[in-house]
Amino acid sequence: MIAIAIVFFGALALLFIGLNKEEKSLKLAAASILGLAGISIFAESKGIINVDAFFTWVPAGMITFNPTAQVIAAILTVMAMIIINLMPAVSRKGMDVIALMMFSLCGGLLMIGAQHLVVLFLGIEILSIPLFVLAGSEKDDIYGNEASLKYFLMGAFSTAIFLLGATFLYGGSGTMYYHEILLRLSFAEHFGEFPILMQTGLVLVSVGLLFKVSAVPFHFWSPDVYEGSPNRIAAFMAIIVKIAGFAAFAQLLTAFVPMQTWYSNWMLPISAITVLAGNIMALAQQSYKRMLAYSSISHAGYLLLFLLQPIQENFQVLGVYLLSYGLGTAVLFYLFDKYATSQDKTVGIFTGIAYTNRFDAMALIVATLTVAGIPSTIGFIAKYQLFTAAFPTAMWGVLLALVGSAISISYYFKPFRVLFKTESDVQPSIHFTWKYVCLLGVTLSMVILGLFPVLLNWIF
Amino acid sequence: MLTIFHSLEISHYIYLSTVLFSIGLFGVLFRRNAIILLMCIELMLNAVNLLLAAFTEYMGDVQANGQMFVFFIMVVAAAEAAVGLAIIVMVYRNTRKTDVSFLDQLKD
Amino acid sequence: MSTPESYIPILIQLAFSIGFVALALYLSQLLGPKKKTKQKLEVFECGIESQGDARFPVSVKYFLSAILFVLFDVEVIFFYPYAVNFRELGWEGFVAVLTFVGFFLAGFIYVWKKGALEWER
Repeated sequence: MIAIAIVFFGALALLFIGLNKEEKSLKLAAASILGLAGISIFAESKGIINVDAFFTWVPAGMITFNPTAQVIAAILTVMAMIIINLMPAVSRKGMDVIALMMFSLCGGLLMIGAQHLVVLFLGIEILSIPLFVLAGSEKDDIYGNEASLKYFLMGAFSTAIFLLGATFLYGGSGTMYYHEILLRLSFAEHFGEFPILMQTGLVLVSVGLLFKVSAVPFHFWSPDVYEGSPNRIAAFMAIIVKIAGFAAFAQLLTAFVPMQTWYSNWMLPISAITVLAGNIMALAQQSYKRMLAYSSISHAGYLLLFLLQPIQENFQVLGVYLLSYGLGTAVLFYLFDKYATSQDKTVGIFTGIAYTNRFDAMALIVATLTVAGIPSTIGFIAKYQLFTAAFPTAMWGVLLALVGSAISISYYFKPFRVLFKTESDVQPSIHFTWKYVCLLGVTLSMVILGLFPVLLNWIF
Repeated sequence: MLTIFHSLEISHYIYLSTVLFSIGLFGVLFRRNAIILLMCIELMLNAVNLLLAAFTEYMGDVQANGQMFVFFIMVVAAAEAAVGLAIIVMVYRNTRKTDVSFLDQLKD
Repeated sequence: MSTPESYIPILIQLAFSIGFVALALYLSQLLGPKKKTKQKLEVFECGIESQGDARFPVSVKYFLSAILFVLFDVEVIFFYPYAVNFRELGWEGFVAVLTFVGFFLAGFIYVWKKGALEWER
């Protein structure tokens, strides 16, 4: 709760202070607000600070963060900080873009803490509506326009489906609290038959959420939207929406544990198709950004495999995977944004950066190894934990996911072929700016957490 | 007259809402004009609102959770429509079209 | 409290009002004098000669105002439940509503400062 308040009031203040200022001048302020929010919610999860007394007015049980959800919320906030810090600011007056990103983050935090269907719905909408605007924030760019319109239509459509599902769940159980739904379902389990309204409701709600996290039958919008949006917004969508979406999905499914065998029947094919289609279509992409979009679809498939098993309190596995995915993808999007030109968006943009900018090359290698899940990075730990956790319930799915991971290596490693290609006499010149400190921190954390997984136990 | 009221079951509301929702859904899938798509989405949301109000009444929910949900949906739908119309105006300024056939610029 | 029977007065009122309107329209047509000349059949517009179509594109400036109106207008919906439960909620509810209005006002001031309300720009 404290993080939502800090982010919201911070964004509001920035909006008014930055009315006539350049975005660059207040970027650091935005990042420090997000950092403060992240630290405070992390401290809360470790029991260092306790601010419950301030939030007694929150309706009981509607928004509750358990300690693991708090850690995921902290990860989400820190990811937003990294994205805002790394990606270049536009030279336009007003803080609209960054403030909208922060408002959107509030929605993501609300989704993670939601224990009530209305709160989940509000979280999804607060997350999405600013993003519709942000996708089209370059008003004259026709591709940005298309991305914005497409994202809006798909978002509103999936919201409507989600709402019909939520209504059916309300009609079938008479309540909107997750824990009460769980109670009703446990009763129903004894009679061996679940109400048809609950079954339809769960399917529709899942479809709504699968649209948001772009699983395969509902993924067709995401590559276009990512490609058309400005780079930092695409990174924001790929990371924040996915982390918040999966955390919220996992929270929601805790209410449906009695129906686990039933829903895993139809979610297993979805996740298997997502893994395979995401990886195979990523192979065929020319544009590096589109490839990242398809790779994020395949990651959604791996994460769905995890959701198939009855989720009790093993959110840590999910959290570690989301952390590694977020760190790796943020760095890749940053490097793409730095080197891509309006003509060239293929892997060729990375030609020879091992000689011109060693530091960026290092970051690229580490981030690629992380998203591909190669040992010695956090990506391997995350993937290993995820697959072992998912194996008992979704054996075939995990085997397919292993095949998918093998395919993914061939497209993730494409930049490596050109990285050392041309020997130029350009002397490496690195100006150590604040941005480089941030990039260094992200890169090192991927390696250190991979080499010493004990640290992850401390975080979670 | 009154017998009609008494014979209305919750299932009738479910059928009515599902039909309304499906009209909206097929409209979204098959129409080409972005403004009509927006109207179809509103129709879907209103079908949900109707069903929520009916469920609240039939279950005798004293807290009226469903009806509160209706208020939230209406407010969010208004915000969504505002953003959506603004996006359509932005697209119209650049392309002079409100047709969704514009949506295939980004293909590989 | 709200059985189907309690809607009967509304139905009666509805039937009565529709019937009255229909009757008034019918009677005025039945009793009123009729002279059909060309000038009588023309569209009447305050003495100005009518021109053009009734459906013409309006300036996009109206659009911005209309959107802002819709946004601020719909939020009033939350005052209805508050008005119904005004006494039960007491000071706590009052503070909550005041907070809500405060956020609202922040949005309004931002729109104002941003210059979205200036007509000539």
